Amino acid sequence: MSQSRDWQKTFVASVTLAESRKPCILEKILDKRYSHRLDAYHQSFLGRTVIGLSQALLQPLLHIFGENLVYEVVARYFAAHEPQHPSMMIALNFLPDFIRQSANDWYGFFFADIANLSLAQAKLLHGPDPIAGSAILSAGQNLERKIELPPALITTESNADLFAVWMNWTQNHPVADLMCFQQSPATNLLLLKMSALELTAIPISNTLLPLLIQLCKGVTIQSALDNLSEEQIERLDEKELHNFLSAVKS
Amino acid sequence: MPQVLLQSETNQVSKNPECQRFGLGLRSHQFTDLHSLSALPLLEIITDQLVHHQGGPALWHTDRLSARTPTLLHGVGIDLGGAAAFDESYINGLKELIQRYQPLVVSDHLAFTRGGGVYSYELLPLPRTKTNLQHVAARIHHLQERLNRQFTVENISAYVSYNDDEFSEGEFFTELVQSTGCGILLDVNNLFVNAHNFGFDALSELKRFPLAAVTQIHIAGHIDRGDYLFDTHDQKVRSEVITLLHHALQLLSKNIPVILERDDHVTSLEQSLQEISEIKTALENSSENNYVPVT
Repeated sequence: MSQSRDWQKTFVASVTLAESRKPCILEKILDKRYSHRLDAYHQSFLGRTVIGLSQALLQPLLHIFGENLVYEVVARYFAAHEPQHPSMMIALNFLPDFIRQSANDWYGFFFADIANLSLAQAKLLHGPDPIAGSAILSAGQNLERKIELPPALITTESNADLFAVWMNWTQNHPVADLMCFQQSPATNLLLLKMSALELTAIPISNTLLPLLIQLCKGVTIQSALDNLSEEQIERLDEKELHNFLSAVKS
Repeated sequence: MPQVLLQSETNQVSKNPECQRFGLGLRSHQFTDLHSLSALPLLEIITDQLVHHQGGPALWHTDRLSARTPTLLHGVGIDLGGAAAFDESYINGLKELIQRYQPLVVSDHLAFTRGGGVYSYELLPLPRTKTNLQHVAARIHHLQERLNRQFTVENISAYVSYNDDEFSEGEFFTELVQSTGCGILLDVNNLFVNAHNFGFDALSELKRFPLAAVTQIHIAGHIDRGDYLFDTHDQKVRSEVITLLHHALQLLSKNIPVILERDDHVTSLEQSLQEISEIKTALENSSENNYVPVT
C-alpha cells in the first residue's frame, strides 16, 4: 500500500493545490487520453468549497467579487492551510482571518465579513446546542431578571434576506438596534450576536419571537411572559426558551 | 448475513404505507418545508453532516423527520479506497447514526478522498486492479464487522482513468459483491456520465453489474463540458438518464429505493417533488425502443 499512499497523496495535492497539478507520478499511471481532465477535480474542489462556505450567500458573493476572485482567494487559503479535517467547515475556520490579513485590496474587509457570517450560519446548523442553563422557567427568581440583549440582527435563513442583512450590516456597522427582516411564519430566525467583529448565531423560532420583542422593551422575563397572549404562551417551547436565554446570557 | 439484511430492508420499504419508492437527499434548506408535508418521501441523510454532531438544529430536524419516514444513510467521506487507515471517529459516529436512525441502507462510494492527511472533499477514482480489489474488499469486510450490517457501495463519476485498469466497473463490482456480500448503490447518472467520458455503452455495462445486489439507486443531473460530462448535481435529470433508469428498473426484480440528488443550484422542496413526479411520468412513458447507446 505504500505505493498507493504515494500516488493518492499526489492526486489529492493535485486536487487541492493548483500549482501541483498534473505531477509526473500521475502522468505515469493515468490514461493519457484523459489526463488533461485532472483539472476538473481541482475546479470542482474550489467550487465545492465556495458553496460549502456560502451556500446562502453564494450568489451575492459571486456577483460582488466575481467568480475568479472568490476562487483565487479560496485557492490561496488552501495553499496556506491544507484541509486536514473531514469537516469542510472546520477546514475553513481560519478563512476570515486569512482574508483580513492577506487581502490588502478593497474586498478584504467585506469578504472576510461574509466568510464570518457564512461560517456562523453553518456552525449554527451543525454545531452544538447552546448550553442549557438551569430551568429558568421553574426558578421563580430568574423570571424577575432582565435580559440585556446584545447589539444584534435578526434574519431569516433565505438568501435574499441574508443578503439584505449583510448590506445593512456593512452600512451601519456596528449595529446597535434589533431589526427584523421579512418575518415569515414558516421560517426559523437567527439572532446574530456581535462583539466587535466576532459573530455568534443563536437560533430563534417564530414562536419565540413575540417574547423576544417584549424583552427588547427592557422588561423582566416575567413581565414579557405576562404580555403574551395565551396562544403565544402555548406555542412557546420550554427547552427552546431555556436554550435561547442561556445563549444570550453567555 | 448481508443477504438476509437486504431482504428485511426491502420489506421495510414496501410495508410502510407512507413510504414511496422515490425519495430525496435531505438538505438543510428544505427542513422547514418537509415538516409541513403530511406524507414524507424517503429521505437520504448525508452521513458527513451529522457524523461529528454535537446536537444543533440539523440533528433536531433530522431526528423529527426520520421518525416519520424510512431513511437511508449516505456518506462521502469514509475513504473506502484510501491507503490510510479508516478514521475511527468517523466510524464511531456512523455507528451512532445507524443506531439512531435504523436506516434501510448505509452507503458510501468506491473512491478515495484523502491522501497524505489532506482531505480533498472529492470522490477520486481508484485503478480497478486485482490489488485494489483485495484492498477495498478487506476494508468493506472490516466495515461490515464494525457496523454489524451490510455496507453498500456506490459507483462514482470519473473524468480520468488508469493504464492499469483490469476490470470494467461492472466487473469490479461483481468481484466485490462476491467477496464481501456488500450492496450496490447504483448511480445511474454516474454510469451514464462515465459511459460518455470513456466511450462505452452504458446499458451494456449496466448488465455487467451484479444487479441482484443493488439496494438503492441514485439519479441526478450533469452538465456537458464539451470534452466530457461533469456530474454536478445542479441540473434536472437528463432524459437519457431517465431512459437508462427505466432499463435498470426493468432489470431489477425488487422494489429498490430511488433517491434524487441535488446539491447545487438548490431547488425548493416543491420543485424537487415536482421533478420526481416528472421522472415517474417519464418512466411510465419510457420504452426500450428509445434508448440511444453511448459509445
